[in-house]
Amino acid sequence: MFRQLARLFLTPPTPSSAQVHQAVEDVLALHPMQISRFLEEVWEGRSASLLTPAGLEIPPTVWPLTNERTSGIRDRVIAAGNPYPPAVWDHLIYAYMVENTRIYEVFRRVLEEFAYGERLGVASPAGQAWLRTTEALFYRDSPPLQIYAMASWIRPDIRAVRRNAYHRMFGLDLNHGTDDNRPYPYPRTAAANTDFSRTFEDVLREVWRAIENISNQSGPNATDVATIANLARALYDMLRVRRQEYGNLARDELLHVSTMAWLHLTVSYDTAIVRDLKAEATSPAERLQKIGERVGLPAHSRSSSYFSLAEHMSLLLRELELGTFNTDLGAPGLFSGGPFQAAIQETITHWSIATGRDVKARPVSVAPPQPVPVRPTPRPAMRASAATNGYAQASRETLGV
Amino acid sequence: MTERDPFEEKLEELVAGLERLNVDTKVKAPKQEQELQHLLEEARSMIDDLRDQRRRREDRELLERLAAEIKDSTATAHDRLTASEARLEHVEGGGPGRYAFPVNPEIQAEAVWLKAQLSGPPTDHDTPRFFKDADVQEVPDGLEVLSRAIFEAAPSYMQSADKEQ
Repeated sequence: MFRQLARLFLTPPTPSSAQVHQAVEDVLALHPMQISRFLEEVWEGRSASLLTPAGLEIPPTVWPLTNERTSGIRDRVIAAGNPYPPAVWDHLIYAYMVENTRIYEVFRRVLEEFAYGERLGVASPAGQAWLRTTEALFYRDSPPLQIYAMASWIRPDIRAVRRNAYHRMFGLDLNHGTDDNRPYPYPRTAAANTDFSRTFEDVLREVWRAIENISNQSGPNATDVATIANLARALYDMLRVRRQEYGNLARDELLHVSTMAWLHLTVSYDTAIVRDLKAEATSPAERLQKIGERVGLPAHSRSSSYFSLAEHMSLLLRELELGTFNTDLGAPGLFSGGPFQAAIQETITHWSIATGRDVKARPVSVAPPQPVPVRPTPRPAMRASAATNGYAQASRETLGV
Repeated sequence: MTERDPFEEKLEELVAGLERLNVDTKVKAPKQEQELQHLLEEARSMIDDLRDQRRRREDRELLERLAAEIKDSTATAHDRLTASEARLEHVEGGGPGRYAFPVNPEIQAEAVWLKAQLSGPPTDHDTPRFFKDADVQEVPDGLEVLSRAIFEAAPSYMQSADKEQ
């Protein structure tokens, strides 16, 4: 969400590195009220293809409507020659993957350290602005009437709200519990896509086989398009069952994705708060690792793979939810070149790294030995009798009784 | 003194001649036999060489024929493969840069659009700075640095006089 906004601040096609860095700093320096209204604008201007409930926007009869929907960001984006607002936001899988790096908990510690003491030093003005915005928007109860307001008396813990959404949509929990390594308590429901991980892995495996054979125009080709289409349909069914036609979990997704995108953008460059934390590095994972060390909460060692999975799986699942790959004609879109193939190749690589399961290897199954065919012992038509006195005795089989 | 009978003399000469012949025969015969053996061996060796050369020539000719036939066969196979691939391309619509399965252009366009919507700003990793494009900085030598330092440290009236000159 905010990563997209930073891109919209730039004039295409090839901005300089300094311009990119400035655009990121500008996004992170926005006032919390602007960010809040930006999320309202995004919800208002969302694509009709997104499964979202209707009628949750601020009604046009509420006065003054313009204030609630005016973030002051539009003019800058339009001046850069880009459309506003972003029509699509990331899939919930983006939030799940980014949160697996433990970024939310690490920055929670950062906020605590700056709020309660000076062990990490004193933040620069830009750093203080970031601290204020981050705390105001993502580490406290939201204003009750905003579209992204989630926490309430019913569900007071936003972290549990997120875990609940992940569990329902993907049947997955985060790879970390509480800070003292206990399982994080959150409400679980029976209606969860517990087969998501296995099915998605099957898709990756089949698509990898297809990519291996992509150029085989003659001779054997192990690509099984029908299986890929069937697996894509299975995933589509799972996700759509959760969404239904009414866009269930869409508001949750907007908030969770925004939260993680804000933190992801923060570590994507040597931003003000990163410099204040003396965590300059060359990649988001390295910066997060350094920040984690500063606050005594190590980030996940495979954070780099999780960041990569977040971006690429978001692209894939967003499209997969539309049912694009459910047919034999649509399934080749996953492996016949273009951004989808690039995304799924990256996903295959980083999924294997993150999970430790090599999806490029052919699955080997140990089949039980085939039963040896047993020829039935022929039964005598007539049962032998000890003493028939010279006459054959009729059996039940022969009589058909 | 008795005179020698001429017949006896003739006999004695004959005996002496026979003895010489006998000695000559005993001495020269092995030599001749050796020479004869040597000549025979040379003649046999030449015959072997001749046969060897003939065999080699035949082998070479055989190899050349074989190579020519392999070349012809490969050329024929290549031609047939080319013709077969051309037919397959015609039937399947394939070709260089094309894939075994048709790609829906609508899906490709959707992929490009969605990717553009969801992607963040370019990172430093996206645009590596190559060595070949990097600026080369000229480093002044010691004398240049010294002269510049002296010039900058000189009083202003000297610099102005220098300019006037």
